[in-house]
Amino acid sequence: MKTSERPTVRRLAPCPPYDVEACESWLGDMAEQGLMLERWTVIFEARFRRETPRPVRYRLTAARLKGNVLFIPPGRPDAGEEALYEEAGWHFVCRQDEFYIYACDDPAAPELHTDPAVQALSLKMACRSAVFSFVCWAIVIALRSSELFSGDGFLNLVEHPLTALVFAFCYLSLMLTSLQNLYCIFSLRRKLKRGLPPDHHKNWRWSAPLHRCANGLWRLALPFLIVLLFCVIFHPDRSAYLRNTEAEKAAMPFATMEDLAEGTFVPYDGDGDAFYNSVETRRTLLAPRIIEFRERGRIVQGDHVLLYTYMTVTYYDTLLPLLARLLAPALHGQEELLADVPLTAPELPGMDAVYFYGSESGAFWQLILVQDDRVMSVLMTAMHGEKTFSELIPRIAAGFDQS
Amino acid sequence: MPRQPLENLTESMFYVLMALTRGDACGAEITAFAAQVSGGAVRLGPATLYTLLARFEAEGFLREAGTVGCKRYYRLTAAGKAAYDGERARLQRCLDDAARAAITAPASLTKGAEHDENERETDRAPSGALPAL
Repeated sequence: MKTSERPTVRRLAPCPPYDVEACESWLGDMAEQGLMLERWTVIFEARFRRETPRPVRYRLTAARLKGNVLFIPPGRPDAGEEALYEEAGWHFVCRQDEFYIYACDDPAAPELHTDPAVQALSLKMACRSAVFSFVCWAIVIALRSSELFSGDGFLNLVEHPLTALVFAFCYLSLMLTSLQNLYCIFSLRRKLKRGLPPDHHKNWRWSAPLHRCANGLWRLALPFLIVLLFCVIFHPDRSAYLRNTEAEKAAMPFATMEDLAEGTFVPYDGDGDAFYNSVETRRTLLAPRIIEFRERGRIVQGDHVLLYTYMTVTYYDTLLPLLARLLAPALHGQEELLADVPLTAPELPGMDAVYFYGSESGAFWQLILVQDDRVMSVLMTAMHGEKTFSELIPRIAAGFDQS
Repeated sequence: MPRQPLENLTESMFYVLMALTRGDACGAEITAFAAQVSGGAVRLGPATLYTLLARFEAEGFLREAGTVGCKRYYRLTAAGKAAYDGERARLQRCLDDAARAAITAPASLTKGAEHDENERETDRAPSGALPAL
């Protein structure tokens, strides 16, 4: 069946749902093209059925005059209201957000609203709903923005930039729509309070391309976001670690345990040894190289155990020095429970930033180094042996330094 | 102090209350009455009427008196009667003032016009000065 023969047609609304005048004008123009409104969905799409083109007046009236903004209005008006409107020649079509849409074929039928001041009164709940929506989205964006600059938030941004970008787009898009709705409904209310009637033939065309484009992008973003979330949640099983080989260790852009002390490295070979001596590499849009390196074992020199620890290195090679700087506190945030005592950072030439943490028990140590667009966190767990962590710091820094 | 929403009634509000002073009525009867008594000058749209009935009910000016089928009947309360009488008195006062002004118009208007012209001459601002806000 050709597109032009389908009995129902879908169109993206060219105006915000609270722009009452533009919506009425658009629906009237659609009727003159033979498209009669059937339904208006939540995602700014209107469904029309094909009929003979004829002039039809569409009017949006407030769906409720009182109530709680936390609840959505009923799907249909009550029987009394609908009967009253039917007597005047108007039949109910559908609900669109805070409005009921009525249509009338009879040009002689009286207008639904004949008193602008009273129509302004009727928009009280719609105004409240618009304010509520705007405030909610503003709070969500404020919370998400503050989360971004907290530990996990920024880390999530670097690890999953595309998801973060799509989320940000969705939030901003919804916020802008709610701002538009707020502006439209309060403008109309102000106009009505001055005694001016609404313009039922308002020009909706000038802003239609921009509005439809924004709506279209939002509608594309939503399924894309679902797919992305699916990929993030159900990512490949990370238990299939790569056991780090000598060649891989040599290629690491930082010091491994063997580099930290003179002696022989004896890897841990107990339970879970595959995990404890493994490396994972990945890349994202904001970090072309991310390495999670784990090494557990001891450095021995004869009968002496110089170092016995479980070392975890998290390394990010980012696109910008700023990203590396902002990632540093995020990396500490991940291990805050272990190494929670900030210590005086040693002077390390060549490093743009140094953060040093320990635990009260002395069992956990964390060193975070930033150089240009690279950042690295070294966490040592259950460390013991003849070497202290402070003695290892210069070697850790030397291994990281690329200057 | 900001104006309360229903202190001064608009034309539509006044005619709705007027219709109910005659007894219980439903929406269609109120609409028909308003058109008839005003000679067609006041037409109450169904959405206007519905909004007003809901608003008056919330303000306590009327209450539901019963239903016949889908039609809801409304009855004016004492508060509604008082609001109607108050607005009627206000409008009557305006009409009386206008009538009084028309009776004494010729002499007082001429004198008033001369006095106003003299005042305008005195108060005229020098050219180029901004008007006082």
